[in-house]
Amino acid sequence: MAITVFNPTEVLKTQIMTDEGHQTMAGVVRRVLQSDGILGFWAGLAPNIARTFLVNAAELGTYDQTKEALIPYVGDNFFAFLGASGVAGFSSAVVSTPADVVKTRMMNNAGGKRVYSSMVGALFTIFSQEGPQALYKGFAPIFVRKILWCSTFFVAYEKLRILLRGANGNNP
Amino acid sequence: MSSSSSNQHSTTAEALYRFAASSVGAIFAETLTLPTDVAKTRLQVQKSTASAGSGQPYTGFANCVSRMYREEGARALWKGLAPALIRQVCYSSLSLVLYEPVRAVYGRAFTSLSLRKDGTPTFAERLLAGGTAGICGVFRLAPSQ
Repeated sequence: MAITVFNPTEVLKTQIMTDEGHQTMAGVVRRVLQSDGILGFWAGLAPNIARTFLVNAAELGTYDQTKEALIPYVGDNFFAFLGASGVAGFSSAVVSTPADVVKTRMMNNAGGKRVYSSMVGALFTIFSQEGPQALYKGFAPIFVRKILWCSTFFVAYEKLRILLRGANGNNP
Repeated sequence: MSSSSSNQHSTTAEALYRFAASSVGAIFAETLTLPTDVAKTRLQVQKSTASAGSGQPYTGFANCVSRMYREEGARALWKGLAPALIRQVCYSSLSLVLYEPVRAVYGRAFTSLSLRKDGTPTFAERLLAGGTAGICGVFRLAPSQ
């Protein structure tokens, strides 16, 4: 549900990121609206749903188990969290990167000429024209980002929670 | 103030702190890691066959980041930050808004199943409501991208 609601923000993000000039949000909105209408903002929705499903499934299946296995060795702390996030991130990148490549391509084409007919069509086209390795483009940054994101979030979250609780303790 | 009501208060406060901390933490993490997302997106749209219209294709992750920095400046590494943060903030707000109504639904279900004795929501209810609202993203482990 949330994926459907926020698909437009991902279309905007993808197009701004790939533009080498100075594309603005308003500029992208205008171009997509003119060429594809409002539905253009839901380009890549199918691979977006597929990707999220694969990511969640892979992470649910690995995170808790890895963390439990690590706790006896490193303790229930940041390192158990980081190790479990790393394994979960790696597994989810393995299963979800092809869907992610298709999603990015379809979102990037919104408002331009139609290159891929559907999610499955795109998967076959990329595979046959560019080879199987093309479906794993972006694997390294996906994995690196996962580790960085989780570490930053974990540290910030813990510090902020303690800070907020402390601030409230002085003023009950 | 009775001990049960002060207990209730501190649980609510704790939930709020958790929400605030996770929202700010997510914004922080999103901003810090955005360059890797820009590199990922650019590498993914690059066709393996034809060379890109604007010169040499990127050869990999590190090459993409360093070339973007040299050719387009450091600010280019944070392209798309605005829509990325809009999405993050919407996710957080949505799950905060959804938490109470979702908990109320579970509350009615628990009462009708006579699983709860008085008017106080049980721990299980809070957990379930948090989990359901969390599907929208806040307490989710995965980065939104």
